[in-house]
Amino acid sequence: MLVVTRKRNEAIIIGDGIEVRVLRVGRDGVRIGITAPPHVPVNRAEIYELIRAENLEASNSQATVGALEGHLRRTGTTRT
Amino acid sequence: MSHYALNVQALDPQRDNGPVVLSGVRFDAFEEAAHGGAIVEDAPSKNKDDAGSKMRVETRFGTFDTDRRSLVEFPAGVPAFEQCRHFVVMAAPTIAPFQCLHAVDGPAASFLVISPRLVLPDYRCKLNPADRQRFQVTEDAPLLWLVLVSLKESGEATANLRAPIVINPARMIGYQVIPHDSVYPIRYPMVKE
Repeated sequence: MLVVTRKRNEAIIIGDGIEVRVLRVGRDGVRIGITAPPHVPVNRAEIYELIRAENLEASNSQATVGALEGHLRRTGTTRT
Repeated sequence: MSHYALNVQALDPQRDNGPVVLSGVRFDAFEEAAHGGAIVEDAPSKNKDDAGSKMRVETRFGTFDTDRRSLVEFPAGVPAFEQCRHFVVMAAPTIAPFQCLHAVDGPAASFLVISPRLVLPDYRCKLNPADRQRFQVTEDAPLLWLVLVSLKESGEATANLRAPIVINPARMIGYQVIPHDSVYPIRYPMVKE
């Protein structure tokens, strides 16, 4: 891991066009501004991890079409 | 927020004012309402050379016939499957009202998906300007919205309303968006208790 010290209004550049700038340093947190190209999504790590875990579970679910049909029957859903 | 059972009536094109059908895939566009049920026939494809070439895709939900024109590019993959850059969305009577979102490259990723409006009829989600730019959205372009479904052996099913899959059919670009101000849960129970 690269560790750098930055003061307020100082920034780092990552790759092609990603800038991370320290906007404010407070007692409880650091306010950071991120500039990134449109194709680079920027998310808080904790929510990204939650989505990641849920995606893994959705992909691993062993449900088959058979189980699906059972589920549809249980929920009283009719086919179109 | 109350729990709804699946409401498949909304699939009726007469009621939902204009799904777009693209290569056998139903696009339930609801963010922009002005498109009035257009049929997209020749969406721009990044694979012009092999446009239309047939593909057979095997998933745990069945085997689907599709074609390369239906490939949707996911420039960032989806979380946990960041290496998967191309997906197909496949619909079939055998899994309706669900559809299958299946990666054709990278690690094996295959999801059951459904229109969020079938899970929660008044589901609303706005793309922020950065997202709109990411999708190369034009003003009146309809977008396809889907949510991943997690289906347990017990029959319990939840839908991830927090992070919908959004596809721009005009560009065949998709992302799983994580709106910063979303009020919806990651695990929304789909079965009415």
